[in-house]
Amino acid sequence: MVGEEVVERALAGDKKAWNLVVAAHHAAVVAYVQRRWPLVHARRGAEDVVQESWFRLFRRIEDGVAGRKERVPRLVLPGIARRQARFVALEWLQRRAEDQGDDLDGPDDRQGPDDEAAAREMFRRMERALAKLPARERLAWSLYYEEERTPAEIALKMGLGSEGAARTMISRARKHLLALMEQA
Amino acid sequence: MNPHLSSDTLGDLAADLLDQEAHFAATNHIDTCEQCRAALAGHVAAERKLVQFAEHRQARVVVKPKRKGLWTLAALIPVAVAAMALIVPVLRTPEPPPPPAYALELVPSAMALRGAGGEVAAAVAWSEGTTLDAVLRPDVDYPTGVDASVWVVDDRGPVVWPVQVEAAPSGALRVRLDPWSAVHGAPSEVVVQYGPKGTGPDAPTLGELPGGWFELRASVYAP
Repeated sequence: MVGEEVVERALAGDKKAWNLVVAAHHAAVVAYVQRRWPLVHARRGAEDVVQESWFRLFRRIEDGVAGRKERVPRLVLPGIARRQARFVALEWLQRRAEDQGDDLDGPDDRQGPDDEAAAREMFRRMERALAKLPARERLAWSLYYEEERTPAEIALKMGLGSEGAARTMISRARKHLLALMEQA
Repeated sequence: MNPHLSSDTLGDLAADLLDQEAHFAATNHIDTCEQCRAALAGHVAAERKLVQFAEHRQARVVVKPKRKGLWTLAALIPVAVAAMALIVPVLRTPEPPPPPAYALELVPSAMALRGAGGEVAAAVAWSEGTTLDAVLRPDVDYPTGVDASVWVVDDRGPVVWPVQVEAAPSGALRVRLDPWSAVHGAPSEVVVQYGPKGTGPDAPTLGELPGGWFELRASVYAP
């Protein structure tokens, strides 16, 4: 395990600290891709997916430090790396029939001044929608998306009995939130 | 029968919420189905928005792990506020804009919640010996920040509770209430009054809301 101080330094853009963070969590994220995305692993290789995930994550940290984007607020590891790997895997699935060349940049989500204003407005709408969720759904959403907890951990924390029940609760919260956002 | 994946399945795939078997089936189907692959794009975009929102919220209130030094610093906040109260009238600057609407959320360290029958209302379980966080989040960023007074209402009336305060640059406050103990009455409500910095009374009283201040309430119960 790497200490909190190393994680803080990595978040501040320190490359050496970042390498320690990667070394500590790489195997766990590769195992996640192998287990969870076997098709992507078979065709592209879990190592490759995870390398790209780390690259994107560090680039986001550098952009945040340089003020080009919102800072990455916390490195909840390995959760945040798993999530990045999930997006890389999903993008690979979507692009199957198209050009499969490496796109290390990922989707172009760099925000200009207008986009920034639009994003703030979207966040305000989402905040209002989140406040309308029933308390337990809000808690499940927050644990999954903000705390990067796994469904198994959430089941335990919320006394839901099974991982499946936690998945259902998070899924319901997610759908509910998206529907409320549409109405807002 | 529709051979394509449902919208719910695609959403859960994007959010990584399918169980293992359903996950394999969905990814294998997408591998061969152009229509579902195209439909997945919208769900991935929605998922990206949710993740961005979660990270935006994390950035607004960064809850750091406990550090002794930090709490020592937090203990000095009332002293600093008192000192500022003496200095501010001398160095009077243009008045900041009034604070935006804040939302109150109670987060118990035990994380046990019980629905209270309503859609939004919920009573938060406050287990004996545990702390309780009252998190105040502004509707829009308000770097000036606010002052706040906190009471716990129990079956004998309101009690000014010992707290530790942590402020975020966005103006959000995390007020950590000291552990509840059975020697106190059974808690039923947490009340927070907040208002512009330096405008509160020296001895705040529940039921008397200072001008320009607001009050928020949330239910608790002792499990």
